[in-house]
Amino acid sequence: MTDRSKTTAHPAPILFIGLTASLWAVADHRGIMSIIWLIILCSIIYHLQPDEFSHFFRRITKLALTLLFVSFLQILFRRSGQPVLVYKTIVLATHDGMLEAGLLWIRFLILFSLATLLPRISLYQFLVLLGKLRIPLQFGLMLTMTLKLIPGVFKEAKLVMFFFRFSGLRFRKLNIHDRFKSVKEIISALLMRSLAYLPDTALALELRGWDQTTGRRLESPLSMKLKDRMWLTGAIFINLLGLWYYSISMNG
Amino acid sequence: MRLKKKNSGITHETPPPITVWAEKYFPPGYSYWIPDDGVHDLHNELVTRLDIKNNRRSGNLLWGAQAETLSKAGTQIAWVPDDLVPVFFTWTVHEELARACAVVDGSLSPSEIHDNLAYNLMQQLTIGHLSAQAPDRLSDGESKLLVLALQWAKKARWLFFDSLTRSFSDSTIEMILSLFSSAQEKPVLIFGNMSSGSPWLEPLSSLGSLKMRTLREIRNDG
Repeated sequence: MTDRSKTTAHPAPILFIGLTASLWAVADHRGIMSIIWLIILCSIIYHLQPDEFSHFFRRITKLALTLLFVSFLQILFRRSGQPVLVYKTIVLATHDGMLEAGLLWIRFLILFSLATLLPRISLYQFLVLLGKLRIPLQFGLMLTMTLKLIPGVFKEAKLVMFFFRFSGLRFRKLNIHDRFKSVKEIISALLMRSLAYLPDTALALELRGWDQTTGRRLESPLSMKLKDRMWLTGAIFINLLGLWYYSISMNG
Repeated sequence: MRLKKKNSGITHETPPPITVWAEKYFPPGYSYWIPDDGVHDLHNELVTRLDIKNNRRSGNLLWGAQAETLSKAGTQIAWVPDDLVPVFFTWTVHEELARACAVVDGSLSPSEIHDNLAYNLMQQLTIGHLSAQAPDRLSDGESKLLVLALQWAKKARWLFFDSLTRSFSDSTIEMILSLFSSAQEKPVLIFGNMSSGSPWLEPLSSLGSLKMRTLREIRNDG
């Protein structure tokens, strides 16, 4: 059994790192900062769950073929920039195309790392953090409950798919109009089934005293350990370093 | 899944495993009842056979060979489950039934014919008063009755009933039996969780030759 307290992270540094890594992944057109953030994210994942790191890589490899295909198209159709690979007189790849294909990979991997990292945040701590950020408790509860219900929604999705198929519908034999209609049907059924969770969650809240009239405050300390403080400071430092590097290179 | 004969253009589709199983143990010409032995349960048997719980991803049931197999099984197998909350795809009971009738014709857009078929079926099952109600808001018995109507509309070869008596009153069961007996083309009816002293065994035998089949003997055989 894995000790849950060792594999969960404080929400503040994780959210800060996630936010800045996403911003750099979008804004950085050279790839240097994105690579640095990717390495940082992978290190955090390894630190939090060393046993599951192989699963993380396995999940990436499942999508690698699709990404390879997309990056191949990127290289093939991007014609601007200096030629890098030339066969006789035909330009096979340009510098811009290669760079964009590389950035595509890095961005995807950052996204994937974040998706692996975010479930490590304890939902209750996340709720407390929202409270500290002066976000109304009701909104915070709605947000955390939505996150908590995601596994249930997946279960419901499976059931919706089962009933959809078991009705005897042969998808291949449907015309275009009906195919679109079927997507609408699946989504609306899923939505209705997800909404059916609301009375249960409302009842659970009321039973704990979180009803409409009684005000409750979260009285849980949200203290950061040394490790979390180091992550946060390190993330701020790397951001400043990145900004400094880009301002120098732009002026130069 | 699909085998193509070379140069002939003829396509032979392999039947879904559950229909092969049903064909072997519940051949046409009879109705069947399965005794409640406290160990084997028709519901669990069908959940396993239809592979509902083993699918790790919901996408597996939406596309791919497995989904196609389920669709094919759905055209031949009808099932009124007890411990499975049904999913409905439309906003009213009438629309849901009309949709089920349209699906039999390979469409999702019900025509006037399908509307009429749905109306007739509602009259037969005396659920006409629920016509404009949302299917999700029905009571357990009404919901099960609607599921029966939807499965009946499929015109499947086999109709599995997890339990005939659960959630239904005696008058509702009588009405269901009259629906079965009035049908021109009856599916093979299989009733699960029946006790040997059930008062419904006699009326069921009037529907046709009634046979007992135990899940233990099926398991041991297969």
